[in-house]
Amino acid sequence: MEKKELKDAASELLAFLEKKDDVKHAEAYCSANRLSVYRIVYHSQIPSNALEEPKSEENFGLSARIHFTDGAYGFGAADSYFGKDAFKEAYEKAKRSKVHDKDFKSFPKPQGKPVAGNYVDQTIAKLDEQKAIKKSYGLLDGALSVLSAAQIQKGINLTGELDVGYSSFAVKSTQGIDASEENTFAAATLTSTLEDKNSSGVGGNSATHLLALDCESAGKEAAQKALRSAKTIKVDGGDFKVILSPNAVGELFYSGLDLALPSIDFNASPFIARMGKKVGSELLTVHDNANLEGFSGSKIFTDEGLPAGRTTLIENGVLKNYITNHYYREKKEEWNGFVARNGFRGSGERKYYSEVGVHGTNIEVTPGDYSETELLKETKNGLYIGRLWYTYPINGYSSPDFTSTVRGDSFVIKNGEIAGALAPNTLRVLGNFDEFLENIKAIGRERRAVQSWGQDEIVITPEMCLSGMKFQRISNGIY
Amino acid sequence: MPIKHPKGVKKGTEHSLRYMDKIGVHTATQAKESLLLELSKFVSEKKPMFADFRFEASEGTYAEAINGNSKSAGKDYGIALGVRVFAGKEMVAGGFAGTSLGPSHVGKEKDALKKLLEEAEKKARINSEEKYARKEGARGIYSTKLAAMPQIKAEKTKKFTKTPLDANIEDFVKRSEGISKETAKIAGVATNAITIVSALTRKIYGNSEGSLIEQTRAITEPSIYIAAKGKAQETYHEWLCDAKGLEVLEGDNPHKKTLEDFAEFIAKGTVELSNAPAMKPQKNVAVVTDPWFNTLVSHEVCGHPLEADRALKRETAWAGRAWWFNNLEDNLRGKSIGSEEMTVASDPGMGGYGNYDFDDEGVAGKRVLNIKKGVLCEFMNSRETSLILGEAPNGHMRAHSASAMPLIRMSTTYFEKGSWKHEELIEDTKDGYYIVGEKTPSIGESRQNFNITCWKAYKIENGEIGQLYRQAGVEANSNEYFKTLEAADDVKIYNVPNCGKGTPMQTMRLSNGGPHMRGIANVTGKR
Repeated sequence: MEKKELKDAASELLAFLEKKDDVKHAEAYCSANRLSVYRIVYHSQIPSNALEEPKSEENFGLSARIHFTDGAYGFGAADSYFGKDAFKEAYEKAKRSKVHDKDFKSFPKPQGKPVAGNYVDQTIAKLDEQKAIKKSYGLLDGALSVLSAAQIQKGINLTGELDVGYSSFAVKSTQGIDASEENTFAAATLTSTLEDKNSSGVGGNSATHLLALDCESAGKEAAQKALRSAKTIKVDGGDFKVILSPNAVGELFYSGLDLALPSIDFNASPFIARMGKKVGSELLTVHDNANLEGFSGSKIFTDEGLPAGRTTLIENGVLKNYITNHYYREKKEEWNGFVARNGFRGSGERKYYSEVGVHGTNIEVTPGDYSETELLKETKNGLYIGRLWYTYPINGYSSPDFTSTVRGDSFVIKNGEIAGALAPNTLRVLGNFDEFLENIKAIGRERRAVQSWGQDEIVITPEMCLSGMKFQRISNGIY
Repeated sequence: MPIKHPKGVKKGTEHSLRYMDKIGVHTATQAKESLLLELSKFVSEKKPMFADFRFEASEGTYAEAINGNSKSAGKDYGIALGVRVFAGKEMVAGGFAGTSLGPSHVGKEKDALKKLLEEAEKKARINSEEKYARKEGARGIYSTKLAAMPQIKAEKTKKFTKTPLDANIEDFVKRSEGISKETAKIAGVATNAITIVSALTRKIYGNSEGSLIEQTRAITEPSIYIAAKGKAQETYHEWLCDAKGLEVLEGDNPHKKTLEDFAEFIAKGTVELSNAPAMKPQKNVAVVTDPWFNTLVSHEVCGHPLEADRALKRETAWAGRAWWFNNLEDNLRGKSIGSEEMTVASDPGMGGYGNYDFDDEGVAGKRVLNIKKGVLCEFMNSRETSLILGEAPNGHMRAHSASAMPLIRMSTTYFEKGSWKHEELIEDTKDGYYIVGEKTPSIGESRQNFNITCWKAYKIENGEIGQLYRQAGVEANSNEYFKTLEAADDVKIYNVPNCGKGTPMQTMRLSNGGPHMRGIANVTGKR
């Protein structure tokens, strides 16, 4: 669906709502979304489909958010059609379901200038299925070419995916909001497991443009990492100095870095009542940055039609901001100083059928000065943690405690060098998020964009060296 | 955030509105014959190896209140359609497409089906060519096969007493706001959220073998979130749900409590917990776990690795593998992996969220004895994976929405009863801990190790329950724990509304449970 159709529909919906006597203010929102997923599944000795799931899901529709003259607030959506009947459906639904929410103050007015950016790829917007399927097979081809050269033919398990998404939206309100945008993203990842060698490796990358995504290289990277991890070392539990890979940092941020104002309001974050206080090492500076060319969390506008932008979350270890939408910013006077740059109806998709929540975009860690070699020297003896698995805040949403297990891509560091691969699935992290942030002793200079399974945001981070992390030995391996 | 709305039930309005007369669960019934006819035309023309469709219509009502303040409410419908096509000349491969639909599609559903079938068939053909081109270099690639199934024509409706279609928005708003206000009055409660959701869904399944199945069921799914501030802060979130109508709100649910009583029970319990001492970690101790906690154990440590796609290494990058199945030659099928008191079954015939007659590829749901007296037996499977494993298809392919691709999911996976009375397990424990209620899981990649926290933990001394502790859990090597298990005879099943799997994530409703059990494990605590 063309952006113009969405803009026209939003204008017509707003005009329809403005004519209603009981409408004080209204916001008209239209969107269209399409997600294509190409899931690679291969095992050398078990019957496999290679491309297991070439699939796509799509939707489009509109919704109305209405502030009624009696002070009530209502939301109504209509699926898969535009025009008068759809407008009426959305209005009537909002009217019938309105509630007197004492915390609802108003819809946002235009504020600030949006930062221009190119976050749409017309190749994705008009996706050629044949090219996309061929590209996804590149993951398999890349990995198998490396493994074939290494004369490995048995115990190969390759699983991963190419995801290609397109979304478009338009929003217009009686408060003067008038915004529209198209976004695309592409992400590829492959996990290469060599079962006879008890090793695994992950390769992948993400971008806003399909051409920037090299699936074959991602496949090769996964296989090369698995080969590098072929001789494994088992270690007992205890306290170790560690280097965290970008993947590991991303997973930990997903689990514990909850700086969304609704979570603070809900008493469901470890960062309650810590604004302006030290929450981590002075080396740590983190931004939520929606205006990063080439990174798939990037957007020009929020779903409220406000400029999406850069918010400093942690600066030199001090908590500086929570992320918010307009509703939460207005809920309490003490929160009025936060800027509503994160009012989204979900991440990766512009959801006409959802209310506006609070979601991150690109979580960006400021790089340090260290090369990987220097990080290894700084660590001297310890562990390189490449990938964490099933990380959860186990003692409730407001506790900094978490646990996790260490998967592949991890190594033992001795005398400032990689001594060998850490046997996968043999250690459990007994973690604390406050200790993680406080124990950062050095930050790498090379950054990488990562996204954990189910994660809203893209995390762009270098490797980090920590002075300590607790581990428990949990097994000798899987089989 | 803990508050979620079920798929297919969006924000909305009254059932009596014009478009709600046009669209509802009846839309599915009206469309089914024309959809099957359209599929037949497609099959005659394109001649795929296999094709199927899922069509679904839902109607639901919800309301949400936080700290006594109503936040949102609605009554709405949702319609979705999805197809699979398996086709190819030299090698068969699959393609899938799905979409949500709206009022403009009513009466023209077959047009939407035709478009999706063509799209999925195109994907399948391209996939087949690419697959075949790599056959020599990739020995594991095979031509997709599905187990043969008989043609099925069926209409099934799950029993409920009070239909969700009679749910009234104003009643839901008033009730959620009222309960939230009362909860806020409980000393020690810092934040509370109450949601109420009730919906009726009708699904149509049709395939190229001529099967046409209609299934209807209700769900009612209230939840409560509490943040309590005592000597420490505690948070807890739990559902009170079942595959029934509005009677769930009045106590017809696994907790046997009205929504009001359940909210008070969770709120007061969490406040009590916030004033209890934190657990200190304990090594290798006796743990007596209640059925509510065993819901999460049976789900994470038994159910997931018993899904055939994990065993066959099709989920390695996402959900992980299964420690008891390396490959078709090297696995623990037929071998002991637990004690004789450990029997695990998956049964779509039991009540609750895991209950259905046919799965989303039209296979009758059958009870699977996964682990019998400690011996690993059979997996939950699909038409395709059953052939690879040499098992009979048992009907465990399900999609959370018709627009999504079916995956192998649990039905009701639970621990069977054992030889003890639950009181005896407590009385027989001289020194140990009583673990109550599920909280948060962290599981090893192949489910070889688990760390699951609980709502409450009590010290057991000389057969008596004593001191309450907060921030406790159970951690163990799965195989070692299974070998120590003893089970009581009081099996209880709870409903799980939020099991995540797949890309994009599909949130599935299913059931788990078991009796009181005793084993040896580490107890986790505050570090």
